[in-house]
Amino acid sequence: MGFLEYIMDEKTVICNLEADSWEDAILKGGQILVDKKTAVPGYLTTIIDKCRTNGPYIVIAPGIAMPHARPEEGALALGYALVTLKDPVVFGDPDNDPIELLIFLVAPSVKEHNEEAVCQIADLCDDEEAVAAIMHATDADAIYTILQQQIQEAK
Amino acid sequence: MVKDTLVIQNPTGLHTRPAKRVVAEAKRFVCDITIRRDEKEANLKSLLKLMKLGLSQHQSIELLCDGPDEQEALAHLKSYIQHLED
Repeated sequence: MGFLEYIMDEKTVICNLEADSWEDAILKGGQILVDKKTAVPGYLTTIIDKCRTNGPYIVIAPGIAMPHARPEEGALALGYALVTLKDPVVFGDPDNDPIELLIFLVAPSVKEHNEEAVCQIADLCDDEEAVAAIMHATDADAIYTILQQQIQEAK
Repeated sequence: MVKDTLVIQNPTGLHTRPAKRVVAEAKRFVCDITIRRDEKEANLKSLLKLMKLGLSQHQSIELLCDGPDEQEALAHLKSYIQHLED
């Protein structure tokens, strides 16, 4: 199953999450991965620790972060979540801050991670019009509608 | 224009963390830099375009550099990608 189809089926969109820091955004937004049993709870704190150590490697484009860690760092099954923030947070990446869209990814193998999940997320993020519409959406239903359009267009 | 082929050696491939570092290296040069695998290619100065290629360990890629500092860019990036460790 593709990234967009997973999100539609599992209903893993959160719109206008309230978070007071980038760490808070990862913990609150990423809880959905734990609830869906696709990641162990420590997966999220590992992401935070790695960002503190290595810099904000999960920030991939202006306004967008893709929180993820390696398969062996707590992945249980393939999972995705798309979270928009009520107020943007700063990750410390001057080229791309502030961040208001987080696309969480957990994949149990490097192959799935690199060759499927990351490409599909990059495809969506490279569509500036869709990204702007998602960031401006005021409820999750509006985001599901945008994602459904993306699925239709890809066919 | 100069080009060369290489095989990705690091275990995690060119996913976000190594990819982000490679893009930062590419941006140090003024020439156009393209990375190609099979029929798909991407501007190496764009993280999203690079991520869309989905490059993993052991895959063979081609680097193409075109511009005033193409020789230095090709030599540096080839070495940089081959010496990625994570």
